[in-house]
Amino acid sequence: MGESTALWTLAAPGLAIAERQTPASVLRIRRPDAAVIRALGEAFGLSWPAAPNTVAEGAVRIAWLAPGEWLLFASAEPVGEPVATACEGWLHHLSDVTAGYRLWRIEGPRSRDLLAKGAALDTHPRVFRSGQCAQTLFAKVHALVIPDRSGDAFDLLTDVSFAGHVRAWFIDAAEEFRA
Amino acid sequence: MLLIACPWCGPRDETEFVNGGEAHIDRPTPAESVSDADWAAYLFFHDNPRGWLAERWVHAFGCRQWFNVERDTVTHEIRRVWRLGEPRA
Ligand SMILES: [Zn+2]
Repeated sequence: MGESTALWTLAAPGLAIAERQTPASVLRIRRPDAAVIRALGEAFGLSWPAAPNTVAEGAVRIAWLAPGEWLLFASAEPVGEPVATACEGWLHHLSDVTAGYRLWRIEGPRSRDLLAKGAALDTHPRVFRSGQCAQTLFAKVHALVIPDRSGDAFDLLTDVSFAGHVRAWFIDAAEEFRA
Repeated sequence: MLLIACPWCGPRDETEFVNGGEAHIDRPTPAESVSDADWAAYLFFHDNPRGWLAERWVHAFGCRQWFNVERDTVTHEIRRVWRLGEPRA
Protein backbone atom coordinates (compact mmCIF):
# COMPACT_ATOMS: atom_id res chain seq x y z
CA MET A 1 0.00 0.00 0.00
CA GLY A 2 1.52 3.31 -1.06
CA GLU A 3 1.81 5.75 1.82
CA SER A 4 0.22 9.12 1.30
CA THR A 5 1.39 12.23 3.13
CA ALA A 6 0.37 12.31 6.76
CA LEU A 7 -2.38 14.84 7.54
CA TRP A 8 -1.43 14.89 11.21
CA THR A 9 1.18 13.20 13.37
CA LEU A 10 1.91 12.71 17.04
CA ALA A 11 5.11 11.41 18.64
CA ALA A 12 5.69 10.37 22.24
CA PRO A 13 8.26 8.01 23.80
CA GLY A 14 7.60 4.56 22.32
CA LEU A 15 4.76 5.86 20.19
CA ALA A 16 4.21 7.38 16.75
CA ILE A 17 0.79 8.13 15.28
CA ALA A 18 0.06 9.29 11.74
CA GLU A 19 -3.32 10.19 10.27
CA ARG A 20 -3.77 9.60 6.54
CA GLN A 21 -6.36 9.59 3.83
CA THR A 22 -6.85 6.08 2.46
CA PRO A 23 -8.63 4.78 -0.62
CA ALA A 24 -11.45 2.47 0.45
CA SER A 25 -14.35 0.58 -1.11
CA VAL A 26 -16.98 -1.72 0.34
CA LEU A 27 -17.96 -4.89 -1.52
CA ARG A 28 -21.16 -6.70 -0.60
CA ILE A 29 -22.23 -10.04 -2.06
CA ARG A 30 -25.48 -11.76 -1.19
CA ARG A 31 -24.82 -15.27 0.15
CA PRO A 32 -21.42 -15.84 -1.48
CA ASP A 33 -20.37 -19.45 -2.03
CA ALA A 34 -16.93 -21.07 -2.32
CA ALA A 35 -16.82 -20.55 -6.10
CA VAL A 36 -17.20 -16.76 -5.99
CA ILE A 37 -14.72 -16.56 -3.09
CA ARG A 38 -12.23 -18.52 -5.20
CA ALA A 39 -12.86 -16.31 -8.25
CA LEU A 40 -12.24 -13.17 -6.16
CA GLY A 41 -9.02 -14.66 -4.79
CA GLU A 42 -7.81 -15.41 -8.29
CA ALA A 43 -8.79 -11.96 -9.56
CA PHE A 44 -6.79 -10.28 -6.78
CA GLY A 45 -3.95 -12.80 -6.56
CA LEU A 46 -4.49 -13.69 -2.91
CA SER A 47 -6.46 -15.99 -0.65
CA TRP A 48 -9.73 -14.06 -0.28
CA PRO A 49 -10.46 -13.44 3.46
CA ALA A 50 -13.68 -15.44 3.76
CA ALA A 51 -13.18 -16.25 7.46
CA PRO A 52 -14.58 -13.70 9.93
CA ASN A 53 -12.16 -11.01 11.08
CA THR A 54 -9.34 -11.86 8.69
CA VAL A 55 -7.26 -9.74 6.32
CA ALA A 56 -5.53 -10.63 3.05
CA GLU A 57 -2.66 -8.65 1.57
CA GLY A 58 -1.91 -8.60 -2.14
CA ALA A 59 -1.72 -5.66 -4.48
CA VAL A 60 -4.80 -4.56 -2.51
CA ARG A 61 -5.38 -5.12 1.20
CA ILE A 62 -8.80 -6.64 1.91
CA ALA A 63 -10.49 -6.94 5.30
CA TRP A 64 -13.56 -9.00 6.27
CA LEU A 65 -16.30 -6.78 7.73
CA ALA A 66 -19.38 -9.02 7.92
CA PRO A 67 -20.77 -12.15 6.21
CA GLY A 68 -20.63 -11.27 2.50
CA GLU A 69 -19.03 -7.87 3.14
CA TRP A 70 -15.43 -6.71 2.74
CA LEU A 71 -13.43 -3.50 2.82
CA LEU A 72 -10.99 -3.09 -0.06
CA PHE A 73 -8.19 -0.58 0.50
CA ALA A 74 -8.58 0.79 -3.01
CA SER A 75 -10.90 3.23 -4.67
CA ALA A 76 -13.72 1.58 -6.60
CA GLU A 77 -12.40 2.49 -10.04
CA PRO A 78 -9.31 0.24 -10.26
CA VAL A 79 -11.03 -2.75 -8.61
CA GLY A 80 -14.40 -2.38 -10.35
CA GLU A 81 -13.54 -4.60 -13.29
CA PRO A 82 -11.92 -7.55 -11.47
CA VAL A 83 -14.79 -7.47 -8.92
CA ALA A 84 -17.45 -7.43 -11.64
CA THR A 85 -15.76 -10.30 -13.50
CA ALA A 86 -15.33 -12.47 -10.39
CA CYS A 87 -18.88 -11.74 -9.18
CA GLU A 88 -20.56 -12.33 -12.54
CA GLY A 89 -24.04 -13.74 -11.94
CA TRP A 90 -23.99 -12.79 -8.24
CA LEU A 91 -26.07 -10.07 -6.64
CA HIS A 92 -23.34 -7.72 -5.42
CA HIS A 93 -22.35 -4.09 -5.18
CA LEU A 94 -19.17 -2.10 -4.80
CA SER A 95 -19.19 1.39 -3.26
CA ASP A 96 -16.32 3.84 -3.05
CA VAL A 97 -16.18 5.05 0.56
CA THR A 98 -12.80 6.83 0.36
CA ALA A 99 -14.26 10.15 1.48
CA GLY A 100 -15.82 8.55 4.56
CA TYR A 101 -12.79 7.25 6.46
CA ARG A 102 -9.45 8.17 8.02
CA LEU A 103 -6.59 5.77 8.57
CA TRP A 104 -4.50 6.01 11.73
CA ARG A 105 -1.14 4.30 11.86
CA ILE A 106 -0.07 3.61 15.45
CA GLU A 107 3.51 2.39 15.85
CA GLY A 108 5.96 1.66 18.60
CA PRO A 109 6.36 -0.50 21.71
CA ARG A 110 3.60 1.47 23.50
CA SER A 111 1.06 1.11 20.66
CA ARG A 112 -0.70 -1.82 22.34
CA ASP A 113 -0.90 0.12 25.63
CA LEU A 114 -2.42 3.05 23.80
CA LEU A 115 -5.01 0.83 22.10
CA ALA A 116 -5.91 -0.71 25.46
CA LYS A 117 -6.80 2.74 26.78
CA GLY A 118 -9.40 3.22 24.06
CA ALA A 119 -10.80 -0.24 23.36
CA ALA A 120 -11.84 -3.30 25.36
CA LEU A 121 -10.73 -5.52 22.47
CA ASP A 122 -8.20 -8.19 23.43
CA THR A 123 -5.11 -7.18 21.42
CA HIS A 124 -2.71 -9.68 23.00
CA PRO A 125 -0.59 -11.18 20.18
CA ARG A 126 -1.75 -14.64 21.27
CA VAL A 127 -5.28 -13.84 20.03
CA PHE A 128 -4.83 -10.80 17.77
CA ARG A 129 -2.00 -10.76 15.27
CA SER A 130 -1.10 -10.14 11.64
CA GLY A 131 -3.71 -11.59 9.27
CA GLN A 132 -6.57 -10.73 11.60
CA CYS A 133 -8.76 -7.66 11.95
CA ALA A 134 -11.54 -6.57 14.28
CA GLN A 135 -14.23 -3.95 14.40
CA THR A 136 -14.78 -2.53 17.84
CA LEU A 137 -15.43 0.63 19.81
CA PHE A 138 -12.30 2.74 20.08
CA ALA A 139 -12.45 6.04 21.97
CA LYS A 140 -16.23 5.49 21.84
CA VAL A 141 -16.34 5.43 18.03
CA HIS A 142 -16.64 2.51 15.63
CA ALA A 143 -13.21 1.43 14.38
CA LEU A 144 -11.64 -1.27 12.22
CA VAL A 145 -8.36 -2.40 13.81
CA ILE A 146 -5.69 -4.24 11.81
CA PRO A 147 -2.49 -5.45 13.50
CA ASP A 148 0.73 -5.20 11.53
CA ARG A 149 3.26 -7.97 10.87
CA SER A 150 5.83 -6.22 13.06
CA GLY A 151 3.75 -6.96 16.16
CA ASP A 152 3.85 -3.45 17.59
CA ALA A 153 2.00 -1.46 14.96
CA PHE A 154 -1.70 -1.15 14.19
CA ASP A 155 -3.84 0.45 11.52
CA LEU A 156 -7.08 1.98 12.68
CA LEU A 157 -9.90 3.05 10.39
CA THR A 158 -12.53 5.45 11.72
CA ASP A 159 -15.25 7.64 10.24
CA VAL A 160 -13.81 10.89 8.90
CA SER A 161 -16.41 12.88 10.83
CA PHE A 162 -14.77 11.74 14.09
CA ALA A 163 -11.23 12.67 13.01
CA GLY A 164 -11.09 15.74 15.24
CA HIS A 165 -12.33 13.76 18.21
CA VAL A 166 -9.86 10.90 17.60
CA ARG A 167 -6.96 13.38 17.26
CA ALA A 168 -7.89 15.03 20.56
CA TRP A 169 -8.25 11.61 22.19
CA PHE A 170 -4.75 10.59 21.03
CA ILE A 171 -3.21 13.82 22.33
CA ASP A 172 -4.77 13.27 25.73
CA ALA A 173 -4.07 9.51 25.85
CA ALA A 174 -0.40 9.92 24.88
CA GLU A 175 0.28 12.30 27.77
CA GLU A 176 0.99 9.52 30.26
CA PHE A 177 3.72 8.08 28.04
CA ARG A 178 5.67 11.36 28.28
CA ALA A 179 6.04 11.16 32.04
CA MET B 1 -20.24 -5.93 31.99
CA LEU B 2 -21.37 -8.90 29.93
CA LEU B 3 -18.96 -10.80 27.73
CA ILE B 4 -21.03 -11.89 24.74
CA ALA B 5 -19.75 -14.47 22.24
CA CYS B 6 -20.77 -13.19 18.82
CA PRO B 7 -21.20 -16.24 16.53
CA TRP B 8 -18.88 -14.53 14.02
CA CYS B 9 -16.43 -12.49 16.11
CA GLY B 10 -16.15 -14.44 19.36
CA PRO B 11 -16.23 -12.96 22.87
CA ARG B 12 -16.61 -9.18 22.97
CA ASP B 13 -17.63 -6.59 25.52
CA GLU B 14 -21.32 -5.78 25.98
CA THR B 15 -20.66 -2.17 24.87
CA GLU B 16 -20.27 -3.41 21.27
CA PHE B 17 -23.80 -4.89 21.30
CA VAL B 18 -27.40 -3.71 21.41
CA ASN B 19 -30.20 -5.78 22.91
CA GLY B 20 -33.19 -6.41 20.64
CA GLY B 21 -35.67 -7.91 23.07
CA GLU B 22 -37.16 -11.37 23.29
CA ALA B 23 -36.23 -13.89 20.58
CA HIS B 24 -38.37 -16.30 18.59
CA ILE B 25 -41.47 -14.13 18.39
CA ASP B 26 -43.46 -14.90 15.28
CA ARG B 27 -45.05 -12.03 13.43
CA PRO B 28 -48.74 -12.87 12.95
CA THR B 29 -49.86 -13.37 9.36
CA PRO B 30 -51.54 -12.62 7.06
CA ALA B 31 -51.16 -8.96 8.04
CA GLU B 32 -54.49 -7.80 6.55
CA SER B 33 -56.59 -10.17 8.65
CA VAL B 34 -54.74 -10.10 11.98
CA SER B 35 -56.95 -8.80 14.79
CA ASP B 36 -56.01 -5.76 16.88
CA ALA B 37 -55.70 -8.02 19.90
CA ASP B 38 -53.22 -10.29 18.11
CA TRP B 39 -51.17 -7.30 16.91
CA ALA B 40 -51.12 -5.88 20.44
CA ALA B 41 -49.98 -9.23 21.82
CA TYR B 42 -47.25 -9.42 19.18
CA LEU B 43 -46.02 -5.87 19.76
CA PHE B 44 -46.43 -5.31 23.48
CA PHE B 45 -46.84 -8.54 25.43
CA HIS B 46 -43.60 -10.45 25.90
CA ASP B 47 -42.25 -12.82 28.51
CA ASN B 48 -40.43 -11.17 31.37
CA PRO B 49 -39.12 -14.11 33.35
CA ARG B 50 -36.94 -14.10 36.43
CA GLY B 51 -34.36 -16.53 35.06
CA TRP B 52 -33.56 -17.85 31.58
CA LEU B 53 -34.68 -15.75 28.63
CA ALA B 54 -33.96 -16.16 24.92
CA GLU B 55 -33.26 -12.73 23.47
CA ARG B 56 -31.90 -11.15 20.31
CA TRP B 57 -28.72 -9.09 20.27
CA VAL B 58 -26.97 -7.28 17.43
CA HIS B 59 -23.19 -6.83 17.25
CA ALA B 60 -23.72 -3.16 16.44
CA PHE B 61 -20.08 -2.01 16.62
CA GLY B 62 -18.65 -5.21 15.16
CA CYS B 63 -20.01 -7.34 12.32
CA ARG B 64 -23.55 -5.85 12.64
CA GLN B 65 -25.17 -9.32 12.64
CA TRP B 66 -28.22 -10.28 14.67
CA PHE B 67 -28.20 -13.48 16.70
CA ASN B 68 -29.84 -15.13 19.71
CA VAL B 69 -28.58 -15.34 23.28
CA GLU B 70 -29.96 -17.29 26.22
CA ARG B 71 -29.30 -15.19 29.32
CA ASP B 72 -30.29 -15.49 32.97
CA THR B 73 -31.99 -12.20 33.82
CA VAL B 74 -30.94 -12.53 37.48
CA THR B 75 -27.30 -13.66 37.29
CA HIS B 76 -26.59 -12.44 33.71
CA GLU B 77 -25.04 -15.81 32.96
CA ILE B 78 -25.11 -16.61 29.24
CA ARG B 79 -25.35 -20.32 28.48
CA ARG B 80 -26.01 -20.41 24.76
CA VAL B 81 -25.60 -18.31 21.62
CA TRP B 82 -27.08 -19.26 18.25
CA ARG B 83 -27.65 -17.70 14.85
CA LEU B 84 -30.98 -16.49 13.50
CA GLY B 85 -32.77 -19.30 11.73
CA GLU B 86 -31.19 -21.95 13.96
CA PRO B 87 -33.57 -23.84 16.28
CA ARG B 88 -34.00 -22.64 19.82
CA ALA B 89 -32.99 -25.89 21.54
ZN1 LIG C 1 -19.72 -9.97 15.44
